[in-house]
Amino acid sequence: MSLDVRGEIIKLARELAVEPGDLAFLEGADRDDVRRLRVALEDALDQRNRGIYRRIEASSRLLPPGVAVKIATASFPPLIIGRVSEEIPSDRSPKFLEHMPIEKTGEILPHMNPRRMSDTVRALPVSQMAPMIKELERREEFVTMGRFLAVLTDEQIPAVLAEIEDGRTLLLAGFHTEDPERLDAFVKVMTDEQLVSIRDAASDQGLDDELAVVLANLPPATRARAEAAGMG
Amino acid sequence: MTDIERIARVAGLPAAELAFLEELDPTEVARLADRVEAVGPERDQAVDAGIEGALKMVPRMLRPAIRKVLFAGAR
Repeated sequence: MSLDVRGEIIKLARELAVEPGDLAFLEGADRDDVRRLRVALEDALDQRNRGIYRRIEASSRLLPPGVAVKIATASFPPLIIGRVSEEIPSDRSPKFLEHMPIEKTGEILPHMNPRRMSDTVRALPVSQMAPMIKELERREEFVTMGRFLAVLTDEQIPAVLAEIEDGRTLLLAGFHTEDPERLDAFVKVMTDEQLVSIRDAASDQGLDDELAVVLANLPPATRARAEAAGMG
Repeated sequence: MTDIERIARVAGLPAAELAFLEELDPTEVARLADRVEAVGPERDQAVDAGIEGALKMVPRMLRPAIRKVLFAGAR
């Protein structure tokens, strides 16, 4: 059973600056085909401006982080800030995040590619990640959560999971993951209460198909444990 | 050039890898090709306008140094 094409359509729509509904005709296509197109376009469009993104980041080093954030948020759209932010070294990112209003961070994160900045994500303290998780949850940005969760280290996962209380969020973030093989690392360390909350969210909110996809992507031992705890 | 070839050219993919688009509504695929071709130049413009706006906010004494870094190479 494959993951859903809708997550890919949402990401492609962001890249093309259109509404997901404008690409609804792609719902009839295979997820892997749409993903290949989306990744290729993302890379090609990114390559076009990567040099200038690097130089914008380099120029920001001449300014105090708070001033750089203020100027960036007043001058650039979220997509450009997101792409430039991918260039910020992991030791400087926390300083910028301190000055970035959380609502603005919530607008920018969906335009970032966590795979280009996995070192930064992996170096972020959970104390800085927690408000971002809450903001993405508030915005129902499950596709973005799925992208970021896929690059977390095994050590970060339990602390991040502790920040997510809602079973629906856990289920949909997992459902939209970019790396189904990483689902195992999450489900393995979920509490029984979290597993039950996922099951409850699926049955209460008509998300049984999403739950089935997540379960189908787990290795047998983890799936058995999840089902025994009440997730299935 | 077909619509699929237009999309493939921007994406840097062989058109054969986008054969799945042949099965979809041709009007929608044509609209997608238009959008794919438009988005790069639009993004270039957003970057240029952003830089222009940002430079106006940078303290005057730092502008030469910032300009030097920003315009040190090709796009």
